Amino acid sequence: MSQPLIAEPTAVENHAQLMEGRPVETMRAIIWRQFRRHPAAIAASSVLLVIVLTSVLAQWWWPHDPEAVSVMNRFEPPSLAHPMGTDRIGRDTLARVLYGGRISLSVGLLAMVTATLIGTVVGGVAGYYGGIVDGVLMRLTDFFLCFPRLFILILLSFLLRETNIPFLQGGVAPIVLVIGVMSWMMVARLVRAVFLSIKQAEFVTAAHAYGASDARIMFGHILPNSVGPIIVNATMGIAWAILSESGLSFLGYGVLPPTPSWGNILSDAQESMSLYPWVAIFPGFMIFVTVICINFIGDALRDALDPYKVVGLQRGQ
Amino acid sequence: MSRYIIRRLLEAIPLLLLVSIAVFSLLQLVPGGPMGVYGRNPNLTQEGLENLQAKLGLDQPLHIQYLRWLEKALQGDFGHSYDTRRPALVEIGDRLPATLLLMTFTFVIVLLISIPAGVLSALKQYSAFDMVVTGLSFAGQALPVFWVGLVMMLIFYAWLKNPVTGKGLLPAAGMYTLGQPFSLVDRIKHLILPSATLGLAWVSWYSRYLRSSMLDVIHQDYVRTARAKGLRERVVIFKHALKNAAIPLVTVIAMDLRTFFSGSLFTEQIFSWPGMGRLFYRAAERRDYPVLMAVVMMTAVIIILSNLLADIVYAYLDPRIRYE
Repeated sequence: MSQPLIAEPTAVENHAQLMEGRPVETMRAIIWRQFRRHPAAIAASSVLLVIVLTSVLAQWWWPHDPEAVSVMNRFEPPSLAHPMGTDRIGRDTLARVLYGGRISLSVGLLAMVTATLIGTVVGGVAGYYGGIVDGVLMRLTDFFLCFPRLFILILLSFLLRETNIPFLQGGVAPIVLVIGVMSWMMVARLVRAVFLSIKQAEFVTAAHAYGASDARIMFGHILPNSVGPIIVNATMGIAWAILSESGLSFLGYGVLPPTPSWGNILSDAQESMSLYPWVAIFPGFMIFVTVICINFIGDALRDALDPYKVVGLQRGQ
Repeated sequence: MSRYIIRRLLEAIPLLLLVSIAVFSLLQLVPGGPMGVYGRNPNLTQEGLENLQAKLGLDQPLHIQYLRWLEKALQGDFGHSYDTRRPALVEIGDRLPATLLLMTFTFVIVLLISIPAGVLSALKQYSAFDMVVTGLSFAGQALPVFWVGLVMMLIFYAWLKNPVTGKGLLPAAGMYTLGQPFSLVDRIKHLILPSATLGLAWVSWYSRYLRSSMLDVIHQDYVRTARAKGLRERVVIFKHALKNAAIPLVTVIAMDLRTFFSGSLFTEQIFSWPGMGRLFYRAAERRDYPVLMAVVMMTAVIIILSNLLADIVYAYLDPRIRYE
C-alpha cells in the first residue's frame, strides 16, 4: 500500500546474489513480506482465526448445548450466562452461533473446494488443449452460466432433499454440492485464461520437447505457476459460498433446523425481531465479520501474489 | 459486426433449448411430481387424481410432455399456474413491473452515489476520503442482503416511529398503503427501505470497480498528455479519463441487467414486495411447475441477451476489441 522504506531487491539483483552463492529471498518469503504490509489483512486474519477456533472447539469451552430447549428462558436479553441471549424456545444463542459457525464455515470451505476443483479441471483442460476441446468446454461453462443462480440453487437443494439419495441425506453434503456446482464457472474461465498465457512459456515448450506427458505438464508445470490467481479467487469464493449458504438457509432451503446455521438462526428470529432484536442482530453480524475478514485477506493476497511485485518489477516494464 | 450479433443469436437458440430441457428434467425429478401437492389431500380419490392428471397432460411420457410444452411455449403459451389457474405469463406480467420499478429506482440511486464516490476516490487516492469510501465499500460487499433488510426494518420501522401516526417511520411492507388513493410520496416511502437494502451492496461493488478502473486509466500516458496539453482538469477527467474508465463498468452493468428482471428474492421476501423473486419463491414452495418453467426460461433468455449486449457494448466502446 505505501512505499517501502527499504529498497527491495529486484529480479536482477536476486539473480546476481544467486550466482554469487549468497542466500536469496525465496518466493514464499517475498509473498509473506508483501502480505504483512497490509495491516487490515493481518488484523482480519487474527479475527478469522479466533472465529474459526472458537467455533471448532466450541464443545470444549462453551457449556451450553445449542439444541437444549428451555421454554422458561425464552427470549432472554444478553446476560453473563447467555452473552447473546436466548432464542424463541430458550436455546442459547451464542451456542447456536458457535455451532452454526462450524456449519457455515465448513460449507463455505467445502463448497469452494468443490467449485475450485471442478473449475480448475475444466478450465485447465480447455486452456491447455484449445481447439474443439476448448470450444466444447466453454460452451458447457456458458450453459451453466445461463441459469439464474439463486433460483437454480433453490430448485437443486429442494430436489436433492426430496429424492432420497442415501449419502446425500442430511448434513452439509447436499448444500455443498449445490453451491459448488453453481460456482465453478468463474474459476474455469480464470484458469483457462491463465493456462492460455502460461502455455506459451518456454519451459512448457521445453517440457514438450523432452517428452513429458500432457498430464505432467498440466499438473506439474503449468498448474503450480497459476496457483496465485486461483488462490485469490478461492479466498473470495469462500466468502461468496458462506453468503450463499446463509442465504439459502435463511430461505429454508439450505441447512434445516434444528441444526443451526447462521442463516437459519436469522430466519427463525424474523418474526420476533421487533420485540427481541438481539436474536437477529448477532448471527447476521457474525456473517458480516467473517466475510469482511475473508475479503481483506483476499485483497491482501491479491497484492502479495501479484507476479509483478514478486519478481520485483514495476507495471509497464 | 452484425454478422457477429447474428451468429451469437443463432448460438443462443440451442443453448436455450438445452436450458429448457435441463430445467424441465430437473423439475420432473422431484418425487411425487406436480401431483405431489395433491397427494396428501384425503378428499381426493384415486380416480379424481387420475382425471386431474389426464386433464393436465401429466400421464404422458416425459418427452411428449416436454415437446408439448415446447410447442406451446414457442407460441407464447406457458401454461396455467397450478396454483391460481391463471396463465403463467399473466402471473409474470403482474409481478414484473413491481420488480422493474424497484430495480430501476435502486439502480439510478446506486449510479448517482457510486460514480462520484469511485471517481473521487481514485483521484484522491490514499486520502481520508478514499480510505472512508474504500472501507465502506469493503463493508458493503460483506453484508448479507437479508440481514441488512432485517436491520433496516428494525431501525426504521420498529424503533424509529413517525411522530404523527405512531407507526414506523418508513413502511416496511408492500408497494403502497392499501385503501389510499395513489400518492407519489407514499409510493416513494415504500421504495426507500427495500431500495436501500438492495442498493448497499450494489453501490459498494460499483464504486470499487470504478475506482480501480479509474486508477488504471489516470496513470496512462494519454491522460498525462492531456494534462500536459494544458486542458482543464475537469475536461481531462470527464472527457478523457472517465470515458475510458467507464468501459468495464458499462460491461458489468450490461451483465447486471438480468437482475432487473429476476429481482432480488431476499429483499422482496423480507419487504413483501410483489415482484418476480417472490413469485418464484411461492411457485417453488407450491410446486407450481408452469410458473417455475416460465420464470426460469425468461430469466435465462434475459441472461443470454444481456451477456450479448455486454459484449456488443464493450466492442462498440473499445474499438481495439473489434480487431482481435
